[in-house]
Amino acid sequence: MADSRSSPAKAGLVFFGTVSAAVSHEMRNALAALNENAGLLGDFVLASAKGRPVDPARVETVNGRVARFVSRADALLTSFSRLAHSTDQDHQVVDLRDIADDVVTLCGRLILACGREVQVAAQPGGTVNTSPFFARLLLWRCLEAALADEGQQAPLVIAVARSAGVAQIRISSGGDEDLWQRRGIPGELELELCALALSTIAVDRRSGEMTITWDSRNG
Amino acid sequence: MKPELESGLLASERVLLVDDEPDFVESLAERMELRGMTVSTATTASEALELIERETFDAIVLDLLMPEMDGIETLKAIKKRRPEAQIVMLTGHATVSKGVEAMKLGAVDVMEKPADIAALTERVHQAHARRVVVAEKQVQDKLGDILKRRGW
Repeated sequence: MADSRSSPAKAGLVFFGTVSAAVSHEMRNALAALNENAGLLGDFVLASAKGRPVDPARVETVNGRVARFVSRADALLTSFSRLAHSTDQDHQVVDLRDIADDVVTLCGRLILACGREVQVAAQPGGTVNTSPFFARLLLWRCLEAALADEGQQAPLVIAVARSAGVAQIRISSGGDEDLWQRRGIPGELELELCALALSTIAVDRRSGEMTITWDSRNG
Repeated sequence: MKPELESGLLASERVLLVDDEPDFVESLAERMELRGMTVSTATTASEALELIERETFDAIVLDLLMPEMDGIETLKAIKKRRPEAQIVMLTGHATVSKGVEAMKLGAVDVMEKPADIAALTERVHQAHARRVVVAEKQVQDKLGDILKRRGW
């Protein structure tokens, strides 16, 4: 049977489905928490109607929880909206920091399930002309491969940097020099995605760092 | 402690809530306590397993999808340690197959998030009643066993 992820189109569909499922799950979690906290406020009103005084500290706690979930859901929807609009045009000028943030935010639950921490360290000004959708997919493919490598505990760091006419996304392997070779990255698909995203990909065998590079003069 | 809201329950049911969202667990626990239940919480599977080793619960409300060890694996681990455990699965992941799998593995119910508190309370009430029946049956079986072994 042919690998269902062997072409950019199929891999893109799988990526969109996976992300949509993760987002819908997270939104349900947020709604569940908002539902319980709204219910709790209702319970306080009922208790108060029965003559039991409501402790303002309890109401303040509920308020804090609601604010946290609204903020989390808002960040998730912002990233999801950017992903949904990433296919509006073949190529757009985008900030690489948004791409890195979106991938980590949208795939947060999948990352958590792997038990690894992923950090984004971004310099400002990393704008490039790219396919926003395929750039996200390319980054996720690399990240997914790194996360699937069992036995690693060190956090993965995604660094966004700009220097001398190029903008880059670098993924450190946490000191594991052979990681990318072991995971077969970049494979044929990643090279195709690079072409679609107007970028190039390279692995530094000594440091174990994976670098995706864009010509930032077009950004 | 007298419940602040009408619960309709005869006794304080002991409930374990397991979900990786601390804010969700805390608010749901508070609501259940207002309805007269005694609630313990865990935000990881290992925490939940430690609690069930030490304590007995009338019902366990368990999130289906958690990091570290997911709900299905946690369900299996709980059932292995406490076959009589009455487990209600809560899920934000609306796939029928996972729900069916959970029921096959011994969950008594699967509820989708956000759950209605009245419906959840009712499920806990039913789980408690079932657990009482199972516990009585276990005592009867044990007694029968003792009587048989001693030839009475």
